[in-house]
Amino acid sequence: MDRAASSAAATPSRRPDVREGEGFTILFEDRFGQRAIPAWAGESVAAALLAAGERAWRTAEDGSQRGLFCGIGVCWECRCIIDGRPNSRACQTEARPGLSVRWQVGPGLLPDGGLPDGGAS
Amino acid sequence: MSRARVVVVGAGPAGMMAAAQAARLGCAVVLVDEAPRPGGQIHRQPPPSLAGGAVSAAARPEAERKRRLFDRFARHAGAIDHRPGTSVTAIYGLDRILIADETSSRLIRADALVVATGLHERVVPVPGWTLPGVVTAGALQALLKGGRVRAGDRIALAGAGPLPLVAAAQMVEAGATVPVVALLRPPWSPLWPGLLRDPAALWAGRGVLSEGWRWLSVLRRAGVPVLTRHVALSVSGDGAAERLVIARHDGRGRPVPGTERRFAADTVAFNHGFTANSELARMAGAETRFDPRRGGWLPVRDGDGATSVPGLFVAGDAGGFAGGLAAACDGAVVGAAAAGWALHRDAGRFAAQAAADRAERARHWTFQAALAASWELPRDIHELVTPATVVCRCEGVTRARIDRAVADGHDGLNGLKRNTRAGMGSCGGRSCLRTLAALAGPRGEGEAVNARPGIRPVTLAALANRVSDESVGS
Ligand SMILES: Cc1cc2nc3c(=O)[nH]c(=O)nc-3n(C[C@H](O)[C@H](O)[C@H](O)COP(=O)(O)OP(=O)(O)OC[C@H]3O[C@@H](n4cnc5c(N)ncnc54)[C@H](O)[C@@H]3O)c2cc1C
Ligand code: FES
Repeated sequence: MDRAASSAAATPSRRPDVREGEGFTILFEDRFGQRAIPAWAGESVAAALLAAGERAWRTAEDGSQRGLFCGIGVCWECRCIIDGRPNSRACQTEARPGLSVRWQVGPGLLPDGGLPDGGAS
Repeated sequence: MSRARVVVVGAGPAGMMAAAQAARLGCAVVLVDEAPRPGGQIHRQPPPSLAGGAVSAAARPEAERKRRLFDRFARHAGAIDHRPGTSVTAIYGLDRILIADETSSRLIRADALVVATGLHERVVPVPGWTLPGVVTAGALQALLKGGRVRAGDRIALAGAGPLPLVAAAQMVEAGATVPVVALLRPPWSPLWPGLLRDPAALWAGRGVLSEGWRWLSVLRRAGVPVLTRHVALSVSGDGAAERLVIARHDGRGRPVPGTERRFAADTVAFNHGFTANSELARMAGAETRFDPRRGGWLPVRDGDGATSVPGLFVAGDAGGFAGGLAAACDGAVVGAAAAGWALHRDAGRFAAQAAADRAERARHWTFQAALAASWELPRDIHELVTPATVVCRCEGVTRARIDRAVADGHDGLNGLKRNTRAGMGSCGGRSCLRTLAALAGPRGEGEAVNARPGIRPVTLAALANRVSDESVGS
């Protein structure tokens, strides 16, 4: 999947109905590096990632990649490391300016195998 | 701390009305809801910062229902201790209900407890359903209603019942291309026999029917193919969803050879009906029965929503799918009963206060009983779950592993869970228990599935930071 291309094409048009609101950026770091993702006050981290064309932000124990599934906090598929806290649900966390989202591997590791240095899980 | 207290779990239409009713009748009310804003699944609200544009003609009936509900709630909201962003994670008894938010937890007590937790979606697994880009139909709606974001640009949908159609039409209005909606059977066909026999039901359902008709018109105008009697075979793609493969089925859910069709899509959404969020009621000891059409394991309840546990009530879709309109009426009825119980140990005390809601609820229930048939899945639908398909997404348990356990005699749902760890992961089995029950052999669906405390993972910080009950609802 050509990540850069799909993101660039997706960004403006996937928010069909936003008339007002405050735009800002959050930081998304996956195995390839970090980039800024546009977000709107009040939307979920998952919404911002999807609007930017990201579809996965976690590697499950069996090695497969996962992203959003149920969208309502039920399935726990959208887990990732948010502001240092592993196993945070992207669909249940509101985006805030400067919030950091990091790709989660397995039970809560970073892609390089390290432990995130944030709060308890 | 002496006022009779009603605790309501869930701020969807049912919980909002139950809380408003109990407050009106003089109880101290605590309304605990996981979501940041009231409204529940159907009236999921965007934050004020994302106030949106115009409402389309097809979306107007829902917007109107929402306005009426919020008006009624607002009249009593001042008397309700509403706790958004807070989950009930365990019930050890009415006097010991564990609630937790991100940073703290507490045990609270209730004189009457109303469980109005709604339901979540059921999805029948197919190969490829764990790929990124595969979501539930409700997830599409949640993103759009809660955040005004469209999940993808080319969105294919498949499943049963009306939700895939409604979600598809909403995606079209949000600017997506929908290459196909594939349904196991037309959701309208099981409806007619029941409705034609019962004109009252037809009349009660006229609003929902005309709304459905409007959504179908949106799809027709956009030229979206709606294929009925079709079954999803797989989703595939290089690391993420790229296409959905479907085929005609023989009426039992088995694909007819030579009828496969593939549709390119960056997002594939499924819905095969709903599963009631009945864990809390089960944990509190309520008797259940299994109803495959209306949400699986349902608490047994009477017309007041009273369960087999004194003081424990269930309201709205948590008691079985009946839709948002019925849920609001039901909430008003059950709220009155809970108030009667809390204040006088007599659930019938305020029955007259809820007579109009009770009558309206009966009309919606008749219509919904006819609609429920559209969630009857074809008999052999689970034959399509191949051995390598992951059934339990959390623990990565495949169909082959489950079949082996069943062959080894671990049939029955609870035995299967223990033996394979399927259904024991982060989601608490909510993504797979229905499938497990179907695969578990003859005892699967009948067996009352256990519910253990801790249905929501709580942060250690919140558990460590236990605060007292004093400040709640007073
Ligand atoms: C994904 C989805 C999509 C739907 N789409 C449509 C549609 O397009 N049209 C339509 O007519 N109907 C739709 N429905 C059905 C409709 O949402 C319901 O009929 C209606 O919302 C039922 O109201 P309720 O109050 O019973 O439950 P809900 O509205 O589901 O409210 C339940 C509330 O309980 C909360 N909750 C659950 N567990 C806990 C807990 N342990 N602790 C604290 N809070 C908890 C939830 O956060 C939620 O706010 C949909 C349902 C779902 C699940
Ligand atoms: S997508 Fe299911 S919990 Fe977030």
